[in-house]
Amino acid sequence: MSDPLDDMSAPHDSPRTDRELVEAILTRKDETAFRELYRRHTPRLLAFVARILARSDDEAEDVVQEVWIHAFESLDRFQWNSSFATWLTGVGLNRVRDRIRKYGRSRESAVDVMPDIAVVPASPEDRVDLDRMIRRLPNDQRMVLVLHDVEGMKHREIAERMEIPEGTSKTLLFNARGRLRAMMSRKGERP
Amino acid sequence: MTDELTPEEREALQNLPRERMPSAGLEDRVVGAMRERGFLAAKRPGRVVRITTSRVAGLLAACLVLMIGAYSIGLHRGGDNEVLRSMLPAVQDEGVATEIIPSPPQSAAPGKNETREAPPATRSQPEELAKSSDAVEEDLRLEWKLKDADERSDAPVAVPASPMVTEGAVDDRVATGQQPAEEAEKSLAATNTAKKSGRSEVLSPAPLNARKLSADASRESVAQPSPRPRSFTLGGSALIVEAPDSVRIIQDGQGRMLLIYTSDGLIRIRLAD
Repeated sequence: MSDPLDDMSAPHDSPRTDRELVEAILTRKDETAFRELYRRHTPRLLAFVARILARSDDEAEDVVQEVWIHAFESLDRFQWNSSFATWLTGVGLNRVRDRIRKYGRSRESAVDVMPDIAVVPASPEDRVDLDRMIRRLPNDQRMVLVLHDVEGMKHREIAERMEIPEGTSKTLLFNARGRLRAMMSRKGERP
Repeated sequence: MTDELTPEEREALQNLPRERMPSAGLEDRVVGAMRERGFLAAKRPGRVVRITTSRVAGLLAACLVLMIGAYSIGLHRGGDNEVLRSMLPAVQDEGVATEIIPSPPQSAAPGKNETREAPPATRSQPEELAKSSDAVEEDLRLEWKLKDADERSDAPVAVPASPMVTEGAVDDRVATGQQPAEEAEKSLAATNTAKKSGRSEVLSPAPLNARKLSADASRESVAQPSPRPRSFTLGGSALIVEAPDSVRIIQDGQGRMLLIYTSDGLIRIRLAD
């Protein structure tokens, strides 16, 4: 099973691999190595966190900061069986879920009350944007849709990361796609 | 439950942006947080200077400007001396005694053959002498230092330190029959010379065939007083010649001869081949 995020392990601007950079940080507390690692992975990490979190950009950056800290705190548990980018995404997913669990319950509850009604854009002037529609999905549906259809993960891996059954992952994905299609059809556009 | 994405849906989802550039301050915030938790080394006091391409280019440009300026200053202040000195032949000090040949009466007007031998203008002589420096350097081993024409010297006339006399040195006047042989020149002796501090003038030998010089150099009138004295060094010793002075190098049947016109007479130095 190919990991679409594995390509992030390859060096971009430097001959040093992710593992070499991590070792430099752990052994010598090398700030230069960390900055290189940060610049290599943060753009993609931020896009993922922002899409999953569906909050303001400032909040997404706060989560990114937490991701880096938690990543190095739990680095001893990373066995380099997957790419560093994949592992970083998993840490990001956990941080987002923790934040949603802590601060996003009200929004999720409102959406769950009317699960079959597509979310209507806040105002007619809102541009129909797939990303904006994804943001309006319920949290769990949004996470599964992003992990599966955008990041390319399999249901087994999604279920493992989200600590849900694989069947639940498939259901959440089915519902997410239905809502998305409904939103698009209401605006006269379909992806 | 089947719910596959249509190709258009799949393409739309795949075309979503995968990266987002963080704000400018996020990196430093993250680094600061990492440093607080001990994952990164504590920040050293002072500003971290990052070596960028633009800074390296600026440093190189500054170094180049300094080098050019220093070189220009060196040329202006005395670099010419070094340049000209390298063109001069070295003199071999043989320690042969010489004497100064008294100059003819001042009233003697330069003949038509002497006209060309009259000391040239002070400022023009170094230029004339420099013309054939390449050719002369092969034969001559005379090392001169010629003082800047603007400088003055109060030093008395002294005899050149290092004689350059070959056997059978013959006065040019003898060669041309204009003077008896007994008046043949003797080589100049290195006597007491006063070394002037720091004042020296680079001189390059006269062109070999630049002038048609009369052999009767002793009859020619003494060089018109030049407003500034000149000092020379020969083999490390100093020769100071008061005005009116001029230095010429002539070619005769015996080879080359250096003529120094002084107020006390003409000094001839046979240059060794």
